[in-house]
Amino acid sequence: MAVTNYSCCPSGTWVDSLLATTSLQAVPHQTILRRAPPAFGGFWLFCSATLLGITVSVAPALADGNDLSDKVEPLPGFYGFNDDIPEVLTTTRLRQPKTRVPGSTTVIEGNLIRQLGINSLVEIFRLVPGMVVAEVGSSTPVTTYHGTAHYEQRRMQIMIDGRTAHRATLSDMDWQSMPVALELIERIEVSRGPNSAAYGINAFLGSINIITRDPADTAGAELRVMSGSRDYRRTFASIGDATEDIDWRLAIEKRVFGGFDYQKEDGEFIPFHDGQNLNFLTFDSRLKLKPDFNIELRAGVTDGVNEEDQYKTGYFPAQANPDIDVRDYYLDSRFNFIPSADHFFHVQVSFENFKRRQRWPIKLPTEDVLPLFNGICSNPAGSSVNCSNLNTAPESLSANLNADSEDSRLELELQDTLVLSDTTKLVSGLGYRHDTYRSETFSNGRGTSEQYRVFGNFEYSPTNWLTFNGGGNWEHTGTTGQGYFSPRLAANLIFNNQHALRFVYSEAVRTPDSFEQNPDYGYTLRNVNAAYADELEGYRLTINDLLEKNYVNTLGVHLTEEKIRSHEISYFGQFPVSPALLTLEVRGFRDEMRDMIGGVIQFEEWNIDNSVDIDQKGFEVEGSVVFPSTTLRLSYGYLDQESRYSGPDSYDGKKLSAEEKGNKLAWLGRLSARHSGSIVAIQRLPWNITAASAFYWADEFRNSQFERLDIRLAKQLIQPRYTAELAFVMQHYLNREYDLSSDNNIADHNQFFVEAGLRF
Amino acid sequence: MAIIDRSLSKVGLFRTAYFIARGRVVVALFGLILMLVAGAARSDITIPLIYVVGSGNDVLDNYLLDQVRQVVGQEVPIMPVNESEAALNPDVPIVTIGPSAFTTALGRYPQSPILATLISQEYYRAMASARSDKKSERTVSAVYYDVPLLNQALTGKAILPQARRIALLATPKSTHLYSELRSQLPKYNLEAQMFVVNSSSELIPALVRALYYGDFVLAAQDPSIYNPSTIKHILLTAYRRNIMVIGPSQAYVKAGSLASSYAPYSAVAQTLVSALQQWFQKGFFPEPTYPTYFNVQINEQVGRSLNIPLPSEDSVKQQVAELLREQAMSATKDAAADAANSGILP
Repeated sequence: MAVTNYSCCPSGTWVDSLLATTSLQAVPHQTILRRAPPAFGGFWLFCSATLLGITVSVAPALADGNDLSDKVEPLPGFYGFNDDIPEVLTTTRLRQPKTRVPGSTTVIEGNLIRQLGINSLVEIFRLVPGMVVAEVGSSTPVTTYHGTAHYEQRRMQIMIDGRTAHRATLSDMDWQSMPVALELIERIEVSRGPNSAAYGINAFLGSINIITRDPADTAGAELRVMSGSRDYRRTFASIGDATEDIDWRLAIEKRVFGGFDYQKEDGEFIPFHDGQNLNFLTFDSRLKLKPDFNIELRAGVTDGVNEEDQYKTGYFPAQANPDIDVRDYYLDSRFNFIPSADHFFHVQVSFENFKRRQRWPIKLPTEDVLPLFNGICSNPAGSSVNCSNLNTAPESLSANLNADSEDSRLELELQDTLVLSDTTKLVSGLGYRHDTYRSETFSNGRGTSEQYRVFGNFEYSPTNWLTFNGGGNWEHTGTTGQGYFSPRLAANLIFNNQHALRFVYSEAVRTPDSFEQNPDYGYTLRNVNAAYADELEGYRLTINDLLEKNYVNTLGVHLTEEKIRSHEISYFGQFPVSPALLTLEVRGFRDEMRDMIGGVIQFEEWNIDNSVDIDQKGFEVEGSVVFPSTTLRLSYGYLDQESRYSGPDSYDGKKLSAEEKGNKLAWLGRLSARHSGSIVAIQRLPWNITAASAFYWADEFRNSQFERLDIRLAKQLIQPRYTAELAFVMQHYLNREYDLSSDNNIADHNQFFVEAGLRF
Repeated sequence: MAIIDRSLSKVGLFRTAYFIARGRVVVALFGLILMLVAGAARSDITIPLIYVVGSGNDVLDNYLLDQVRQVVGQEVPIMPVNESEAALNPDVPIVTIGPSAFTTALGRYPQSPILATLISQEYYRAMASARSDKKSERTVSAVYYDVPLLNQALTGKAILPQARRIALLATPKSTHLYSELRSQLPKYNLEAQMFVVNSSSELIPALVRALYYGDFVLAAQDPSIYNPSTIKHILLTAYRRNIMVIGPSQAYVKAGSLASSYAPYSAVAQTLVSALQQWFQKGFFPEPTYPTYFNVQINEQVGRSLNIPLPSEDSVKQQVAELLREQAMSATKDAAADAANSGILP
């Protein structure tokens, strides 16, 4: 029987002996220690003693334990030394830690949204410091960072999974018809501050990226129903699977809501027809063709009705509610290439189509008909009308109007991420967008506009406590025919990987959209009543047919870009205070906005131009304390806005009055709340019950306040094979006054909702 | 003169002999001093002989046995067991390395005492049921290689002190792995919920529900759930939900688990040596046990990306040891109190 001696051999060094690979089944050829001849005894003793001495003194320096990874081959089938465990979370897959991001970002997790019982997409943004949420018109939700105008919110870039989500030509954000179900939101990343360097023009005040849950994460089925006050009803169902080759998910959602209860019309409160009834069908998938290449395919269809109230629509008195038929669809594909652990890029191609159909009858009272005829006849463009017959107006004028529109967007983007070394990373890319719009009313036919851009960001960390980011976006847009460069420079000082101090300078540009720049806004009269049909059937009414203009019309004025320059100092820190974790982010900013487009766009009043300069400064705080069963979150924003009129004093010889100038300033301050914020508390109770409460407020909203307290109690039934949830939500409006618009009235200041969900 | 010469030469010889002898003694003393200085607790271990059934991976076996040698402080006579050999001395224990070696030894040498190393508790219990487990007769025992789930759970708690709920995934056949853990957790202010996976297609839906529940996922050494082909899905899904995965072992930390405790070979060797000592001194093995201490490995890149402030690996190791010690002390106090109480009662 062979005995192998594991001590030193005279010839080898001690290192060799440690790794001696004498076969355990070898033919005996070594002497057994005990029977070594005495002559060798002393020598062996000396040798082994010395060796032992050295070894033992050096042994602690050897990593005690399992650093076998380099030395030992994996033992097949023996977990612990696994065969080929892939490296899954590689550098390129990992998100940037908050200490290294070159700006302040608020991340709202999907879980938080569901725990607070937030019942519509736009409401989520009350949690972001510096953002406000309100409703205009017939309960059309608007939200923005750092205020400015309330109608047509167009100063933030909003994306769903990297695909631009706002409408192509009107640059409008239609939050009601956004094809994202609350249950499918993984997280929302709000970049606060100009982000054009990364996302292009339009990320003027910031950017919002809604990231939906990966189809691999929604395998199984989910059902959810929510019902409550003001005819609120939302149903959601999704089904999906994750296999070797494909992950996919199909989801349907129905959103029904009654909107506000009462509007104020002529001093009276009457019911408000401002609800919605929309259906969504979305499909998300990922085809995993090769380990280094996969394709994401998404598609969705939206169909439904967005109610509009007849008293809130247009210049001409509507005789029926001009509800909007919504029929949108999108196709989105993204090709992800991962050539190596340090390099990956993607190509995204998406197509979206927004089709709106809005038709309603109008009736102009008899006394208003003759002035209209005079207007038409004094308008050179009205020469096609036989004015000789329009001298008298015996009866009222009735006709059908429409505001149909269809716009589509084709978007291409290539983005490449290259990790050059441990200290440098380069992100670069190209983008192209082609918008097409068709509308009889808004553009008198068909038009297109194009924009293309090149962008890049270079991240360099000379030491582990300092990171520099330098990036920019150069973009050319058809609406102004110009190219613009938007840079961003940031320096992050990082302490201990838990604290960071950031200094950020960024510039951005917002160009006027096609409708602002080249409007051809007119309503074609159809089904005119018999008395006037011969003259006016098919006639397209425009602003020039209207006589009363006690303001300065700017139709036809060439608009240029709005500019912003932002200086930011912010701090982010984490304080582990066992057993809790305190996280704090404070952002101070000083922004200069120049050549802002102020004024209104209405059929009967068009006076937008680049005429307002705004200086904004303030600070925002976002903090959270997480205990084992309790989470507290706070957000607060302070905004100080100073606006000045910086446009021309007159147009075409007509001088602007002080009131007109003042109005332009006021309209760009409608959503600029001085104080806004939220406080959230979530407590886990026994028996899988969770209690959550949120308090939202916004101050100085056109001289009114928004204050609301939400409370949600949820019971989860967690079984090995399914999870069920039942929840009860109450919203309590502390302030009985309307916010922002006198039409936004709710009858009962307590609103109740019930939720039931099942996941398996 | 001759006498003087003879005496001189005798003296010379004596002197030489004396010096040679003294030289050897000096050397021996030097060696002894070195050994004493160097190896504090190691000078009194004697292991006369052990048989070894290797794992098939020589580098691994040699490394482990060398760790044993370092613990013992001197050479350890080791006889590798050849397949063709049938007769073994029944007083000499067989040390097996790895699960297949253990199974082989159990089958082939039913009369011999066997001490298994690098084997999981699960595997050992499944295989060793045949032999008696009575204390004084124990002829088979083990030094487990997997990490007790409680250690892993406490590792998670040390990294994320605000964690309270732990998500567990299991197949119907592996739910028993967690039953002991679930009873131990409440003492540490933790709770766990099991999510059962019936087939591979159910893994992701169960994981998704688990991620809604847990503050982190505790992965046990359960190859039916956590193996190289499923780990990608699991780590990516948990990462997307901003939730960390602890375990199943050190090898998975490189893949993307945030952390895992593991037993370094030196700890395995220490436990092995004390078990062998007991055999040679008392004639039976101690009960199968885990190694004396565990280290922690943390994936810092993943931790930073999850915005988790990471303590150092040593700090986590100490915290876990501290928590276990506190519990053990209070358990002893309770036991003592109970004993005292029962003593008082007539």
